[in-house]
Amino acid sequence: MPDTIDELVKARAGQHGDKPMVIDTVSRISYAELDETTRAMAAAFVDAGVGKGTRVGLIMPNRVQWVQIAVALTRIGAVLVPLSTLLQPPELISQLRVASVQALIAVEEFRGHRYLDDLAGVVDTAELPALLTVWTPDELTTGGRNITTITAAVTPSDTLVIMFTSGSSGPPKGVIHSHGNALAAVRSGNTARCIDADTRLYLPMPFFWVGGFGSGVLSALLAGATLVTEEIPRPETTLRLLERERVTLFRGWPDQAEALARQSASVAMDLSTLRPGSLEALLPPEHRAEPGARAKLFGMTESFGPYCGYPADTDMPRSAWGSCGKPFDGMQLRIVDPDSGQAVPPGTIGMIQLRGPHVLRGICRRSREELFTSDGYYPTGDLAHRDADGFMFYHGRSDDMFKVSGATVYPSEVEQALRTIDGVDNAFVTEVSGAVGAVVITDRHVDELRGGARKLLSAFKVPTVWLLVASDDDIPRGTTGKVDMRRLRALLAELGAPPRVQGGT
Amino acid sequence: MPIDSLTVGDVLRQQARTRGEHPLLVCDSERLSYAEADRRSAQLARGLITLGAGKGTHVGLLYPNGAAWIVGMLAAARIGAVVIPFSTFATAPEIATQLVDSDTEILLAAASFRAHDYRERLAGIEAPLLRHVLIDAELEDTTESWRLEAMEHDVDDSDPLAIVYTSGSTSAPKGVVHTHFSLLGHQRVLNEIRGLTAADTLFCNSPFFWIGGIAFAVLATMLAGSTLLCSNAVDAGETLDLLEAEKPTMTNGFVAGIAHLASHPSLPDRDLSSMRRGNLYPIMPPEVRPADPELRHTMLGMTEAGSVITLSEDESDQPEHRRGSFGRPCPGFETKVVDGELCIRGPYVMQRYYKRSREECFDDDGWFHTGDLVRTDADGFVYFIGRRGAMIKTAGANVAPAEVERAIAKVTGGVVAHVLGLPDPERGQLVAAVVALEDGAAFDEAAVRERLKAELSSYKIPKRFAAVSRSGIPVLSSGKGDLAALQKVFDA
Repeated sequence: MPDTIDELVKARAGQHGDKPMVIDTVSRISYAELDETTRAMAAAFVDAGVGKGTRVGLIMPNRVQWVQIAVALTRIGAVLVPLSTLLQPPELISQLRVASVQALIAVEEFRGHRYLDDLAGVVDTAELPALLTVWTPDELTTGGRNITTITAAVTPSDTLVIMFTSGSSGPPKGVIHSHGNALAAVRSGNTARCIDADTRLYLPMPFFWVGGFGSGVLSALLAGATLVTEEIPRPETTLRLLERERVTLFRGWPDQAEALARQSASVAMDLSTLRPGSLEALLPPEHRAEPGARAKLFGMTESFGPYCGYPADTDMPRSAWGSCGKPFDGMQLRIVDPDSGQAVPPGTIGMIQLRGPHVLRGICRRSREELFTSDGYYPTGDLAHRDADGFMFYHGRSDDMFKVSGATVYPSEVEQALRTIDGVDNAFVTEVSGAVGAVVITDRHVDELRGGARKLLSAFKVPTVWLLVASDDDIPRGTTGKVDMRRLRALLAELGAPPRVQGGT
Repeated sequence: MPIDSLTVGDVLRQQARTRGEHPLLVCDSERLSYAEADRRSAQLARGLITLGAGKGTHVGLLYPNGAAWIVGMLAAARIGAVVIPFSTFATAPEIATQLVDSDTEILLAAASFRAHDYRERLAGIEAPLLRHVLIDAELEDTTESWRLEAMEHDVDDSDPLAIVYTSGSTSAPKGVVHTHFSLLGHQRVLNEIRGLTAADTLFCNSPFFWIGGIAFAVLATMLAGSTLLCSNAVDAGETLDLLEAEKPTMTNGFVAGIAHLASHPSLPDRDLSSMRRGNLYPIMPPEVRPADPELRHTMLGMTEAGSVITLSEDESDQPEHRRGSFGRPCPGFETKVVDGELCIRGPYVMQRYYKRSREECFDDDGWFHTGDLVRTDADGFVYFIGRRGAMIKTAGANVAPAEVERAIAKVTGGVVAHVLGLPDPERGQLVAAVVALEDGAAFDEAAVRERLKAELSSYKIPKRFAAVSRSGIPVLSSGKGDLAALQKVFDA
């Protein structure tokens, strides 16, 4: 099995030479072309002093050329450092510094960001001691040098990529993955994700995050599939791309799928090539599953994408509905008590810990001892329980979990209970100065909700601070559509001391 | 003053600032103070940066023990490059193999050492990632000083510091990856236990390119702020002169490597009274020598553990029931014994073997299986039995070579023997011993065999002996026997 990018690209060029590997709105490249062009590009990198272990940053929206640069670098053992096109100057500088990026390839401009201008004052200063070279994509050249002995020096244990997590507060986390662990992680999920050599996969997730690089670029490379992507998804252009490229698997965002479904009905697009496993909204009704019947794939940057799932075209057993499926083969997963670190029995919520050949090798500037337990597990910070059959149910981040009078409350558990009450469209639960607070989209009265919750939850988990709202428009959300818990908490805090209620009639 | 961040650069800067004029190294006529080490390594580091080196660049070192080795190591380490020490004994094919395996990009080398002509040995050598071979070269230095300083501050103690190759006697050498912290944190703890302080001068005959040199001698010395004394002199008299003049307080290394000093006719007239502690007993003053070395704690170490795993702060003679003790595990190591094999884990254990995943090097729970067979007593002292792979299986019984070697030493008054298994059609293997004799000495095989009967079960007593003069014995300078070459002694 090919376990380095170089071996993989050569193998796929041999098997599927003429097949397109990646397609964007304006260009496409076959597997054979990918092999040839990245060989020449890699030769030029070697001539320019880039080699095994050199950390090279890449800022570019989803394009065919992104894939070429990534492959050219990694086949000679250089370490790819994908950087988000969304980064503001201080964030960009911080990530370049944390990963000790030595060469940077950046488009001049994308969506109003001018990356090279952002760096003008700090290149060649002590701010970025490692950074010696900055190229725009136009400045990249090709070379004729034979790179065979150089690519042969790359082993599966060598670092492939440093991926920054998109998440949360604190200093940026540059997660280190090797060729071997990244490819093994992606390989373990391809079957569940219904990706094989006949797949024409549409995926708009940015390549600079693991959802784009792992679940898109490397998934396609491993399966010998075709990846269809675009820089800026818009319903009209996306629909045209799906139709033109006869996409068989749509793995975009759920709200994107819904918007496309509304649009396609009005413009009579032919999406009949889409197969089960695609997002439901775009499938004909007879191919749609009931809510909760299909697994929500679950993963993180540290696991190099999904590590838990179930075949995307198959309903899970009834008892597992609402779960994330089961851990993929090769992933060692345990759920532990967040305080004691001891494994908990099935049915009990605890923190997910991961280990094995698919997980991260490390994080920039952190020692193994800081990151892993002494027996080698990575504490994910995610909460879950597993049922007796091994299906995993997600319960939010452990940062969200809190204590009320010494007892642990898992917000997601309370949210799930509230959502089962008649007349509740959605519910969000968080801590408000030591009490359980809930924001609920509903037309019901708070007494009915409280009564319903008491039948479903232990008394200490029943919210004592309630904010009832009429629609989702009242829920504060961030730019990516995620609920802004900080603002939500502020709304609840404004209500004063418990018991307190606002809204509803 | 405590040193918070444990990178080599931090330690060097700290010592250069607080005790700059104190000698870091005395090697024969060469002296290197901490301040000079700082200045010379900064200059070399700027030269390396000019060549394109930086964090993560693999820099090879091929020098004998001496200032050039230390300056090269410091220059690479302070800019976050990874140090790849090469053995001065290595043949051209061995050098080529290690250059390829280690992905060395820049090689700093001496032109020659003793009979080794490295210029000749390196001519025509190719490795895919090797960009520069610099033989005793002065590097062009066009790097701005702010860049060196900034690159130094960019080094983290979780960054790899060195890939040290094992001198394995049976398998192909493996590159062991250690971070700044794994080596320095470990030596800091060991210095406490062995009592190495700024007031000490440590005489050590371990080659710097192996773990006992780079870690237990060079880095330990730098952390303590002490002085490291070593000698490459071929004439034992010159080394003894050096010891008398420099008055080391501690000794460490391989006893086999000082045999020529111990047997030098001038030894009885020498004043070596400064050497109070350590393990090179034959050259230490009589009053601190053990009556029986078997009754002193020795140390167990390996490259993968970044040198010493077990030792004792107690340097006195031990009671008989503790005969052969290797001391107790160094704090920071978790240890357990599984089927007789010592397993270790913790922050001082290597990251992994280079070019292998952690999963290939450790078990699921993160334990490194050392291959060393040991037993422990009720007080927690560890006793080495043998190497797992080296166990001789003869007619269904297991024989540990080390046990037989100790018995031979005991009944002969200290003769060094190398015990090994020879293929045998009837027994599978038979026990054989190569004994090292002083030139001109005779070996009475029948008498030794007779005396061994009191020490060993009959199946453990070597069926074949070969006596070889000490200088002719195929031993790696780590003290380990070269098993393949030892077997050939019996082919003749």
